[in-house]
Amino acid sequence: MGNSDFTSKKLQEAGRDLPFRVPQQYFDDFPSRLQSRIAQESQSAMAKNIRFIDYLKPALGLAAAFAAVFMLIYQPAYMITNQVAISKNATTNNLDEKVINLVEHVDDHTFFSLLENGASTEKIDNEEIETFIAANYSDYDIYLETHK
Amino acid sequence: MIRDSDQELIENLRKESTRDQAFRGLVLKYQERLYWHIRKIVLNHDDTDDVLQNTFLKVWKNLDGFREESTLFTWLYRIATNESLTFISAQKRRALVPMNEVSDLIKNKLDSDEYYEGTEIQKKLQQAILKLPDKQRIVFNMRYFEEMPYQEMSGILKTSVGALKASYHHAVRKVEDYLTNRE
Repeated sequence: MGNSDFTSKKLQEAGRDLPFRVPQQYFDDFPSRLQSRIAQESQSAMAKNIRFIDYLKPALGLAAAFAAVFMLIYQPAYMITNQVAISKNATTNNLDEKVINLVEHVDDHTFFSLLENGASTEKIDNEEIETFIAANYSDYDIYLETHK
Repeated sequence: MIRDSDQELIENLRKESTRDQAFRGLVLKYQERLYWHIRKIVLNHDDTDDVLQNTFLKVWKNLDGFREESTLFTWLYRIATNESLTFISAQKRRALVPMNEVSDLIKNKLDSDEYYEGTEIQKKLQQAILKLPDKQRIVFNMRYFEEMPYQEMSGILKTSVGALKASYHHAVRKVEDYLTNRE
């Protein structure tokens, strides 16, 4: 007898029957127990969803409160300050426009000489004043101005 | 015949109005076969009961996902096999047991199982099967105890027939060696 035959014999000896048994009525009760388990799982799944929403509620409340504060305080304040800034800007813009209008009528030569004169630090002496007065005013005008 | 009634079951499972009734029919039809398939993997009755419930629970949750690419029977067996392997993996993690001692853990459970009633040689056979790698163990159980055709096993385990034959051959050799050397 070969080793292979011997071992096959050992396996045959053990047989193909399973050495297990189940509690009485197990297969009769199983469908109902399974049904309860499925119902339980469905309920716990629903409870989990509710619990998740419950967790979210305080965070959502806080976020809503922040949004309300923002809308009630920050937004009006922003709108007011924004309006002041707009009006300031408008005034500045008006002045700028006037200056631009004035400058537009002055020719380039005059404009640059005005700028140069403005920047000059030269002093006018008495002789220049005398020449300017003699050229622009009569003796009578000078008499009237000096005897007021 | 089975195929026809399975088709009817599937059609009723798809309809909202008949789903509960059809699912009950499915449980009644397959609970026993799936129980024994799982029991051969996890051995202990209480563990088998847990895994069987998990299996049907998964089936219930995934009814819409069943695409009829395989038969209902194949789909159910595949879920039961995966659930059994997941259960064993979870046990390994929980017990922090090294891989080579997992079989001892299951063997201890088998010894304390009040629903085990085997002879000495049958117990030895179960111990020998426990020493096999998970996949080989499943192949051996399906072929040796259930005498399931390789073609059917191939659909369930998504493994080629050739690979399954080789796997079964190796498993038989190992079991025979164990039975001979542990006398």
